Amino acid sequence: MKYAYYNSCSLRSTGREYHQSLMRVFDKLEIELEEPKKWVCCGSTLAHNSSVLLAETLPLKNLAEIEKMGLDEVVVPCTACYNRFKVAQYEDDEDRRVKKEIEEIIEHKFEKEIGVFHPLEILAREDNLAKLKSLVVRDLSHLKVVSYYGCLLVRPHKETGFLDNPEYPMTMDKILSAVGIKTIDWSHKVECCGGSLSITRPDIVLDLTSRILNDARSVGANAVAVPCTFCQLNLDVRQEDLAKKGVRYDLPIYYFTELVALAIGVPEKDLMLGKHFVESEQVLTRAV
Amino acid sequence: MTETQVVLEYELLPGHISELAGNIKAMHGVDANMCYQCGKCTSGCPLNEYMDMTPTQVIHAVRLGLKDIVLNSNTYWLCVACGTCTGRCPQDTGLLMVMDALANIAIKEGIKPREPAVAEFYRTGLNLVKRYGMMYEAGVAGLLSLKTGTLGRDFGLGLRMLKKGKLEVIPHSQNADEMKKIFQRVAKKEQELAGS
Repeated sequence: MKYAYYNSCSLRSTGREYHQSLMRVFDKLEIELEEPKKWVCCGSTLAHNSSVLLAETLPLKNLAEIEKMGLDEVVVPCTACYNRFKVAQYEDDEDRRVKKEIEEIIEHKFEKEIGVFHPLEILAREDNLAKLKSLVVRDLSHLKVVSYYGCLLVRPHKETGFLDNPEYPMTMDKILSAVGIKTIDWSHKVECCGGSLSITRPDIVLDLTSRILNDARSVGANAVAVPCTFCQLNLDVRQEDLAKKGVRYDLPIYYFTELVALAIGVPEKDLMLGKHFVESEQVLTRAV
Repeated sequence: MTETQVVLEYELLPGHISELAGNIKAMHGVDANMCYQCGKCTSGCPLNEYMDMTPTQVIHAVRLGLKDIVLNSNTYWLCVACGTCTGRCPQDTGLLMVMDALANIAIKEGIKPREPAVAEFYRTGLNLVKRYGMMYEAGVAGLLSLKTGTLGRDFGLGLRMLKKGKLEVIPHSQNADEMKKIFQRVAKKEQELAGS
């Protein structure tokens, strides 16, 4: 099986450990990924505020590159990119005129629609779940994880069409359970962490992240799993600021791919857990 | 009605649509007039307590054509596009797109943003993306801190990020020439569309 892989801006910097762990998991599943060489930034949070046409052109430019590679499905790990790709496709289906204008701008005529998938959607396919189950070598059943999906993946559902319930998704829970990790029921699965205000209004972001972390703590979680680079960074790096205000969480924030990788035998040294701000290696070792 | 009174745009007649709502519909295809003010958008909005106007008030004001009031609120700048409003709207009103449209209009009309740092973040970020073809996080954070005078506040965070190897100090270029071309063509196309 081979997919195009949109390895975007944040996965090359703040979310490098997401890329690293994802590659390891896909390797083990024998799924081949190929990056488009002429990719550009999808514009995510930045473009739609100033130009809707630009916000739709940038994702479609990338999808055009994927079509030129002769592939018709792409894996998009960053939820902001995923969201923009899906919204652009949706808008252009609705408005053929805009699609024509954009095709002129990027000098490419689409033959067919490229399937855009988040890694969660790929790993949750029955055959991949079964394969993951068969690969488990490390017992991580002592972990009590809350799956945090955030906003961009699931909403607006009509546009993103994420293959799950937008108010109470279970895809990540299913994947983690398949590799023997226990996930807990909680109420902040899809609450927004305020990611895009991270450096402009940290006061608001601290409020929003603390609500999410409070709920995780109140249900007894000892780790949080995320599918998004903004969520990971925000929930992780802000815990130090919250500790300064007197609330300590010490909740490690893992990419779901890191947990899956560990369970299926990728050695810790091959992952980049040391890049997390909250210490995240100790909890992996079962207390004797 | 006395002579001095003008017929206000917001004296809605059947089939009436305010100029602002009309523009938004033309630009973004969303119909603010579908809103029946149930308040579901506001009740789910994670940012509403920090906003001058709730999302429900914004959409009502758009219907009434109260352009100045809406454009001078901080609401559309604080919107993080989480999509809760739009996802839950029983009328398919597309508030998310209304927020985008308001930012688009405000930028074009040179309205002074009520959240200057947020507006500057989008502007600086987009300029860097145009220049390098991809995001340059350290650059946007640094430039923003300088421009908004928050260097003192952000320095600690920047340092923590650098220590963890989460920031690239030097920007990478990614298909930058083609990116610049795309930006130019989009700008040209927008002018054509505005003129047509």
